[in-house]
Amino acid sequence: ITDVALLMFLTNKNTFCCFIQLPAVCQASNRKLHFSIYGKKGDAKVSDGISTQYPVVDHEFDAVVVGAGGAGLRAAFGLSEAGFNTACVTKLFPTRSHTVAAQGGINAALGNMEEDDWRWHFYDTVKGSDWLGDQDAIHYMTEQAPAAVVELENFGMPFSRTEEGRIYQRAFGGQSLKFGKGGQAHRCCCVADRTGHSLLHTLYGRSLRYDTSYFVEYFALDLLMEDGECKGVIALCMEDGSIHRFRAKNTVIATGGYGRTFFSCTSAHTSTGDGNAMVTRAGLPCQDLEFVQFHPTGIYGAGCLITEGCRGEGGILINSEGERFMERYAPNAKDLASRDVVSRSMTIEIREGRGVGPVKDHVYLQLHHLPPQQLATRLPGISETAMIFAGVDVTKEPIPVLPTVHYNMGGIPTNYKGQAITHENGEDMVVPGLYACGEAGCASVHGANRLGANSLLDLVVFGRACALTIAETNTPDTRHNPENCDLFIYLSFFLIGEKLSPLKPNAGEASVANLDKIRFANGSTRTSEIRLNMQKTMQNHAAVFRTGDVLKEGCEKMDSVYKSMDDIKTFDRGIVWNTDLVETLELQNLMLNAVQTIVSAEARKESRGAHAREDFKDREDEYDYSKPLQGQVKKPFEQHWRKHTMSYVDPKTGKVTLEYRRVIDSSLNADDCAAIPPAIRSY
Amino acid sequence: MTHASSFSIVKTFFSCVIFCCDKGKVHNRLVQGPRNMSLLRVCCTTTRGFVKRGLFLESTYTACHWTAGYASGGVTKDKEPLKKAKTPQGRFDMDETESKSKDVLERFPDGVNPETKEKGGPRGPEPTRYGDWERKGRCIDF
Repeated sequence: ITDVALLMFLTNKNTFCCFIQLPAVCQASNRKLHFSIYGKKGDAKVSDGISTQYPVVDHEFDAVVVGAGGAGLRAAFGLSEAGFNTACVTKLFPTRSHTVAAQGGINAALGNMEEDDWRWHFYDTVKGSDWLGDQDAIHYMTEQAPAAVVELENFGMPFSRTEEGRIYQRAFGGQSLKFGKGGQAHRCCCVADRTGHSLLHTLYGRSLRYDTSYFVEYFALDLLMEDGECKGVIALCMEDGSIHRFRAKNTVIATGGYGRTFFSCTSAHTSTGDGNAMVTRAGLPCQDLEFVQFHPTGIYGAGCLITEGCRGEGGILINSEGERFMERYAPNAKDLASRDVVSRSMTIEIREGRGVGPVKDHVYLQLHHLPPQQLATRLPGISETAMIFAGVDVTKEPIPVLPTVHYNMGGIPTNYKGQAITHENGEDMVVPGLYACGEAGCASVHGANRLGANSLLDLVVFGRACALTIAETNTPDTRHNPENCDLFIYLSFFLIGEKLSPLKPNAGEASVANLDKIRFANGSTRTSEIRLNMQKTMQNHAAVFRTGDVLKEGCEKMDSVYKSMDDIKTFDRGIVWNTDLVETLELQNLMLNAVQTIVSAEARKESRGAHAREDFKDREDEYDYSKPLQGQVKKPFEQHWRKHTMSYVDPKTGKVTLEYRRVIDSSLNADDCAAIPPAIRSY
Repeated sequence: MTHASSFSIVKTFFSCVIFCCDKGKVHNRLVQGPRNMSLLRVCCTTTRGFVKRGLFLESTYTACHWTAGYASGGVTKDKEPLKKAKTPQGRFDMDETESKSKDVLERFPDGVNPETKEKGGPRGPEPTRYGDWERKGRCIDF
């Protein structure tokens, strides 16, 4: 940067202030400190636009990213790298996001262990999604996978290596070669046993190179929508209780999943589906929320999953009568039956009253009949796990387990570029200014069932896709970010850089009114009680075992739990670090997700992927793919179920309306990669 | 004489700067910031002025001389490296060596898995041997 430019910059208030504050011992750099607790001070304006009780601080950015997990960080620094003035609003410190708990690997067709092709990965993912995934998005993801993994490795992520020094890949997650005909494929790259942790730290470290403004511990309340266009986010600063409006032309939502709607889940307490709820309150749809991935043996209370290897080594599941109940449900395979069979059997036992524990809501996994040395050699660490999470000595007592939620395939509908879409008159319409990625988004790469090690890939690929799409369609407004470009670019962007469209001075009023209402709520039921009711209802009615009556009963119960939210009672009346208030806001978000999940599940009368129903055991597509297609009549759109569910909620009453959207069956480029026609999914 | 005097001035200014930096770190609220920052600013501007006046070369020379003096055992003779004083072991403190051996999953020699020759991979048996990703009896991914 030349001296002439320096002179110009000195007239800008921002750089002038920071120039003074840096100690002279590092005087050569005129870059601002990347991180400040209060955000970029220069642009903040306090106003009384919404209410005199709640003064609002207004910020202006080119792009706002809500959520700082794997996808959020990738989007945030992708945007900063492209020169955009980006804010990252997160309720947790970036390295505390739930991505850190993803210890599995990332799939990519690098071809290090054997010859591999991303088209085979594409086939496996389409098949795994039970043909509910959008094939253009899957094409995009699997084609970008090798480049994404190499990029991560260049950022410094320490993948494990082969002898030659290439990234080591192992067999995992239903991956095959040659479109399912070539045997097991080795595609899963990992970093020792902490891939997600390493990914998050690598991305966070990389993001510090760029000028993203982090707003840590800011709880995003709502989207600022005007005329169907997303103009920013309104958030509550938890630290001092101030309300902040982040005005930006582009908003990226990467808030993660909503595991906490169920009683037993592997997700952190912070996985509350805030992004899905924000979008729902803005009147936009959420997609495929009924597809929730369960695992049969999760430790009761802790939510930690016990590996299938326990049953593989001889562990058995027993009910309150001490009976090995799997013999009745799967006489041949017994405890080694497939996961969904085991989950359903466990749930049926619990429903019929043969559960264990004071409320009879779980079963036991017994391992103490096996010799302790065998356990220690074959399953090292299990005694430690059982002691820490269940408080039992695995050589003497059984472990309490129940089916547990692990991942949410559904979320905010997007196209393959990451732009949020809505469905009107049979057509997909892009919502201007809104993007979604990660577990919160549903570009539908996972469809009805997620394959292992694909979700970390989903995060980085679609995080980058959102950043690229925004960079393609916008130019940064450089008046806010002069340091990152030289004089010529600065001047040219000054002329053509896009200014923000005007926003009503009282935008976000409804969110603040809601906040105020909850802060002074004085009903009769506590937040924790309502939350427990919701979680128990969802666990009993919308879990693995789904039949018409159970789901209908669950829908009615959820409706009453939703209505009981009007009678909520909070205790903390303060505004500084009011966790009672934030937990209640999170509960509101969870409720919206829960009602959509259960109503969509009730409406979908088929079994597909993770959504398995007892009364409708088969998949219903437009043709019957188990028989030859010749001579079959194609069923009309209304009569088959190979379609996405789009759910809307009226936040006041909790009433859910459903619509359906076609699955995209064509890949991005038919010559490059042929689309896979639907078939019966069997492994 | 001029060397010694300029050297002492440099020393006092640097210690001043360091002192202010420390103070600045303790109170990181912007409310008290301006007071400390102004002090720092004074020191910085004077140091910068000092630098500008061309005495920078001299001061670096003296600084080098200063550190060079230490290396050749000018002030104190350090034959052994300084050891960090250990706090007395409490009732619940575990011995360092004991905790390492209690770890269930042993490290591979040099971090290389002898069967698969994987370098930097997961410790213990192969995580995907049961079809899901297993670690310490827990299922991580499936």
